[in-house]
Formats: sequence, structure tokens, C-alpha cells
Amino acid sequence: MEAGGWGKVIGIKVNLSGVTKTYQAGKGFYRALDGIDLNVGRGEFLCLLGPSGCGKSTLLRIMAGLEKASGGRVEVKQDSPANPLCSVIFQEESVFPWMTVRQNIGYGLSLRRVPEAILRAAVDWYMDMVGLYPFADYYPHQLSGGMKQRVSIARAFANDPEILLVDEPFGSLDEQNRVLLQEEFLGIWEGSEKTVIFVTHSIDEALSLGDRIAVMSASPGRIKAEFPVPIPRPRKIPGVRDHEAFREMFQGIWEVLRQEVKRI
Amino acid sequence: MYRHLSPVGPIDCQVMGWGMWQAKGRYNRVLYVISPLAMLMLWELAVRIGALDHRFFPPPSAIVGVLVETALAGEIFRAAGTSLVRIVAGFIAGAIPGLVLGLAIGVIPLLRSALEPIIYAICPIPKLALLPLIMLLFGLGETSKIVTIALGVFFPVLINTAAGVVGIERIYIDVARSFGARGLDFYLTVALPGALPSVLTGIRLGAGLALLLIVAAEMIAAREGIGYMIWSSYQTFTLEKMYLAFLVMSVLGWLMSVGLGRLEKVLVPWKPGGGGR
Ligand SMILES: Nc1ncnc2c1ncn2[C@@H]1O[C@H](COP(=O)(O)OP(=O)(O)OP(=O)(O)O)[C@@H](O)[C@H]1O
Ligand SMILES: [Mg+2]
Repeated sequence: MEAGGWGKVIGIKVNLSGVTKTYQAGKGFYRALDGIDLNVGRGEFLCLLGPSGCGKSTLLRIMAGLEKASGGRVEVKQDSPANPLCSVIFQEESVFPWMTVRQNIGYGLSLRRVPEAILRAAVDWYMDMVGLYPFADYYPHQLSGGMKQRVSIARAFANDPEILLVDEPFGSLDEQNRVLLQEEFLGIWEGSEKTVIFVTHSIDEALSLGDRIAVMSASPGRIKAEFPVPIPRPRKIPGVRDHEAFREMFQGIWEVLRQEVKRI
Repeated sequence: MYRHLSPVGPIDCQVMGWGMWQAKGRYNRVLYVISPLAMLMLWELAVRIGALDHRFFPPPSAIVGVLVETALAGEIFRAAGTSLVRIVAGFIAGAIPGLVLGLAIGVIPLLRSALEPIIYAICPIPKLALLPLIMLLFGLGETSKIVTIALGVFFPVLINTAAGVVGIERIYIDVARSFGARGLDFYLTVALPGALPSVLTGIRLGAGLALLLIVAAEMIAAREGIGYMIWSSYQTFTLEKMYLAFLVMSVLGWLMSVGLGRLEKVLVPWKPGGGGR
């Protein structure tokens, strides 16, 4: 397998144009998304950055097909009919409490009736990647928060989708764990050629991980600005911060974001 | 909105912590054994000195005598066995449809809207009130006993299962959907395991009802079983036998409670404090 798709984005994988979402809120309506225009390239790692409540999760859920857009167009290109189109890593705790680590990670594959031997090999591989091999038969209530998030990551990768939709997976973790998991995530992704849409409200995280950053406005959400991240890969997580581009861009993105945060 | 499906909570000796048996501390454990023995001795004494009427409260020593006698004749085992078979058969006949329908009601809102009013209309009727009707419909044989118990078990299992499914956190349903779990897969990987703790609550409630109903049904029309034993000892005024029947019921209830506890450990190993590794 050739190393990841960075820098050689070929074609468009996800195309959103004029996507809106209106929720019913009591007697009135609440506009969560207000005309999202966004393209994501094949194999690209896009970070979606925005203030809390701006509709990031909503947008992700729409792309995952868990929610219908109220207006606009959502196009996702499927390349191989054999693979699932997308897997989601959710913001909140989402591993099934009634399944062991092994069963959780193999969930997508077992639903697709992948032969037992292949399933086992894939699960073993990803379990090892996130360091959970010794905990294969543990139930989630026996795991720490960071371990549960690792299960969630491994579960999404093991499903082998074309697109990973990732929603602030490290938001609830302490800093050491966050850095560790960012590292692991990049490690797994960098060999995979998968398209990633990664929601975060941390500029630091977006710059560390992404090929490109799309900044959203405060609610109702729009795409306010886009920034390509010219930091070469493979990246070392704490190391990327020392990159010159990192500091310059941090400032630029913060300028855009602070206006939005102040609007809330 | 459907939260009211859940029962008030199983407050019942069937559910009571028999785990108290594992109480910490030597004195606690000693007390656990001594206190019932002391009560029996007090009872015996009270009858001997005439403080208790021995016709209504035969002394434990007399009951033990009858216990040995009926046990040797096999009578007590036959009675207990007959009742147990009826309970188990009724349990299966009630719990499985209750489980299946409860899952479907929990998952399919349309079905829920259609069936909920009917369930709520029938459920509050004490199943004992239906006994005469059941006997008219199913005769005086085994079927009527089994149907009675099945009805008693069916409703708590149904309602608790449905409430359990409805109470499954949204996020797990989203996960299942995002992984493309449909149809039977959804039921088996999310709806059933997610509802299982609640299903077991329903089964516990059903177990309590089953004991109640078997006695009533056997008192009214039966030639065998614990309920019959109680009724016939009333008619022949052999109260030692009646107390023996009480003892059997107590043991039966305890066995069911222990059995359900085991079942819970096996079926829900993932609950904190449950079994599992
Ligand atoms: N089901 C819903 N019904 C009504 N309003 C909703 C619903 N889901 C989200 N909203 C509203 O839409 C807005 C965007 O929510 P969303 O969860 O997408 O924000 P977010 O950007 O992911 O925030 P955070 O960073 O805090 O996770 C919020 O104001 C929220 O209240
Ligand atoms: Mg969110």
C-alpha cells in the first residue's frame, strides 16, 4: 500500500453546495446551517474548525446520512462498491457497552458478514494499532475514557470505509492522552488513503492534523474561510508545532475565529 | 413520552438482595443463620406453653415430622414438581412472545401507537380476575394453568422490554445506523442487548406473579401441585401440610431468585458490578 494521499488529491470526494439545516425549536425554527459550500478532495484530511454550537456535528451527521439536509446538495462519490462509504467517530461516548473491545471493533465487518478469519485478522491489527490488544475481552465499563475513544477509532478504521467522519474525538480527554491519540490517529491514517473530515474546535489540533482547514462562522454555520496547511507529512505530533508555518497560520486562523467566537 | 412504560420499580422480595447472604463480617453471617433458627425455637416454645394455638400454628417439630413423612412418600416432590413444570411452561409461553412483541413495539413507533392503548387497557386487569374465563376457554387441565401464568409473565416482560428499547441511548442507535445495521441485525446487536437489563426486570416481576398465579390456579381447579396441597389441607384441616406447602413456596421463590440472578450474570456481563471478566 502506498503512503497516504496528501499533496496528491485527485478529484473531489465530497461536494456540498448550499447545504442548509433548520431544526424545529419549540414553536419556531432554528437555523443551524446556512448555506455550506465545501469540497473535500479524495484522500484529503480536512479539518472543520468552528466555535461551539456552530453546526459542525450537524454537518457531519448530514454527510453520514444520519440527518437530512433541509436544503442544498450533498454529493459523496463512492469509489468501490465493496467498501462502506463512511464511518463515523462520534463526539460522545459511543462504544456499545454490551460488546467487548473485540466485538466493538469488529462491528462493521461482522455486519457485512466478512469471513471470520479476515475479521479476526483486521480486528487484531487495529486493536494492536491503538494498544488495546491486552484488553480484547474487556467490556467498556472496565476501560478508561481514552481507551474507549481508542475503541471508537479502531472500530471506524476496521470497517474500512472510504471516508472517515470524525467529530471532536479527543475533546473530553486530558492533554497527554489527546496528543497520544492524535499521534495514533495520524499513524493509522497515513497509510490508508482514506478521506477524512475531522471536526475540532482546537486550532492546534486542526493545524497538527489537517491538509486543509475550513473555518466555520458562529451559528448559523457557514464556511467562513479555508486555509491549506503546507506542513509536510509524515508529521510528528508535538513536533509540528515548531514548524514555521504552524505559528504563522495559528495567528491568521485565530483572527478569523475570534470574530466568530465573539459573536456568540 | 414513553418513559411511563417503565414500571414503578421491582419492589418485591423476589428481587430483594439475597446477596445479603454474602454480608460482610463474621457476626453478620452468624446472625444470618441464628436469627431464623431462634424464631423457629421461639415458635416451638410458644406452642408448647400454649401461647400459640397448635391447631393453627403447628409447632415446627410437627411440621418436620410431616415433611419427612411426605418426602418419603414422594408426595411433596410430586406437588412441587408439578407446580414447577407449570411455572416453567407458562414462563416460556409468556416471556418469549412478550420479548418479541416488546422489541417490535420499542423499535417501531407505528406499532407502539397502535398497541399501547390496548396493552394499557388489558394490563391493569389482575390476571386472577381472568381465571374463570381462562378455565372456560381452556378447560380445567394443564393448559389453563399454563395460560394463566403465561399471561402474568407476558405483560411485565412486554412492557419492560418496550421501555428498555425506548430507553436505549440515541447515540447507540446512531452508531448502528451509521454502520448500516438493518432489520434483524439491528434487533440482535442493539435493540435486544440494550433492552436486556430492563427485560430482566420484567422477568423478575413476572416470576413473582407466576408464583402468585400458580397457587391461585391450583387452588381453584387442580388435582395436584402446591396450590392444591394448600387447599386440600385446608379442607382436611391438616395444617402441618399447609405449612409444608408454604415452605416449598419459599424455597421455590428463593430458587427462582437465585436462578434469575445467575441468568443476569450470564446475559448482562457488561453491567458494572455484573459478571464478566
Ligand atoms: N436535534 C436538534 N434539534 C434542535 N436543535 C438542534 C438539534 N441538534 C442540534 N441543534 C442545534 O443546532 C446547533 C448546532 O449544533 P451542533 O451540535 O451541530 O453544534 P457543534 O458545532 O457540533 O457544537 P459543539 O462544538 O459544541 O459540539 C446548536 O445550536 C444546537 O442547539
Ligand atoms: Mg458537536
